Amino acid sequence: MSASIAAPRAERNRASTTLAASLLALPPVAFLVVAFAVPMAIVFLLAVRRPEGFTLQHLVAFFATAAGRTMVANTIAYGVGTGIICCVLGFPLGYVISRAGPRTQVVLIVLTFLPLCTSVIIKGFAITLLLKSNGIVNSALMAFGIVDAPVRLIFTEVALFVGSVNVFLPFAVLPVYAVLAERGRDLEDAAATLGCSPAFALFRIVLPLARPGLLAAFSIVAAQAMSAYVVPTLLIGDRFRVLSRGAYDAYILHDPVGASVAALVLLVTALGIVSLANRFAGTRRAVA
Amino acid sequence: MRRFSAVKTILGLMAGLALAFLLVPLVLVVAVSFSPSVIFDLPSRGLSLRWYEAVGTLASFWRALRVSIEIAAVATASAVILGTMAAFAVHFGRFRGAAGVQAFVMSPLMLPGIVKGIALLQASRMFGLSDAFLLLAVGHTVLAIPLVARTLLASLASFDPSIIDAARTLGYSYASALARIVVPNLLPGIFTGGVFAFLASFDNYSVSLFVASVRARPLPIQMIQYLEEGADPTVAAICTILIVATAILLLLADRAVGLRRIAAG
Repeated sequence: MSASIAAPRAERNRASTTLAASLLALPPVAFLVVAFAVPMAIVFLLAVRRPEGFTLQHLVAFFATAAGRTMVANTIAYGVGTGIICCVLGFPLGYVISRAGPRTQVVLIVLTFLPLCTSVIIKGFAITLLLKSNGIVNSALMAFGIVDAPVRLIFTEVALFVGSVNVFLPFAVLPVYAVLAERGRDLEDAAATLGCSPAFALFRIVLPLARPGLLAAFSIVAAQAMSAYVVPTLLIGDRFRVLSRGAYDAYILHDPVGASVAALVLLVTALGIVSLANRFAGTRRAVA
Repeated sequence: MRRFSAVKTILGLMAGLALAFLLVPLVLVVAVSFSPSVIFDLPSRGLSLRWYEAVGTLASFWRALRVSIEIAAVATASAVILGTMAAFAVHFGRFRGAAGVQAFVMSPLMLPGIVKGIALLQASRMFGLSDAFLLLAVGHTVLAIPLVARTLLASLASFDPSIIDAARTLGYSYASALARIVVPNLLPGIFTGGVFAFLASFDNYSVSLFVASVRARPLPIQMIQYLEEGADPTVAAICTILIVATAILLLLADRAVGLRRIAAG
């Protein structure tokens, strides 16, 4: 077969194969429509429907109560706070990993990955062991004579943030590592050659390069923290109610509309914080 | 010669502290699980395996473990098949709306787990479905599909499409070229996606919380219950077993693809 005959045939083949490949999208899309899109639509309809049409009364009622408003404020404070702390701690670790030698790099990544793949429940439990009144931190504080009686740590905001940062920190490290892994090393070297101080290089080269990674880190951590359930439940409980807990409690109390309203408010709050962060940073990069 | 740099030293120290802080819970749980003491304590007076023996006779744990493994297996298999199809369609199809399909397939990742759980619950009530096992498997498959598709799209980005043409020239049909040439070449990516899918299902509580039943109660839900009931160090032993199992799975994934690629992708 000569090349002149083969070429149009390959062309035709490619067109038909492109179609065949496109058809592969049908089963996953159909499954996700039934198992994901339709259920999501049902939740949102429940939140805005009444027998004779649409209504905002459920949402208005939710925001009319102090409990509802407190849950929204708590959820935002929790998500934003966890996001910021994780960025502050995640940046140095991501940077150090990106600049390590190949072997050290693998070890550091595994050590960062392992907690990520460990159940939130296990970590929440460990933080409880650490912070409870006869726990390890209190024993240490008393052994060193820093305090006389156990300090109350568990079921406080301290426990909540310690636990949340512990759970979500790897999500902040990996995006920073990903953006710095490929770029910046040569720029830093160039800056050093030109007599630039490491502090100057950090603030003028590394941090600007890391900005998209830090933004992704903040968005991922804040969004995840806002929808977390186990960590707030185990470490602070009803003293600091968040929307995910509110949604679950409504479900337990056989209040499907209340659960749907809380879920809708949670989703809008999380998306709102993430898009605000994107606007604030002046970039429009997809998250996750 | 490297110049001493205060900035780099501070960054290094912070990184070290952050890493140590990340690992504290794991080390702590493992240590407590070997403690002979009934209260949660570090093993100061020798080691003991008594909590591991207690795990052996804890029927509720084994039941929950079996449920979790069964559901994770079903969800992983479904997600690998559906996620691979979606990734192939988006990558090779180049049809109008491929970007939309990709965004739709990825969208379960962006939504809070609790919201997905409530959605599944409300929909199942509306359609009169009450089989907890089915609902758990479906819910976990939804979570897992984007993980498989994402990993695979990353592998496909560095895949050389000319080997499909080569296979076709050698007489393969398109379908068999995909099945016998492309799939084996992408096996590491599919495997890694599968590992992530399995872990996501095995670990999930936010969807399970709403659709689990007394008979089909996955391990995370059972563990939350142990903790709320005020557990003894048996829970630490269970956690240790799970940490070790996860580490083994991760090592396998590293062998298959390399964690650096996963982390950067």
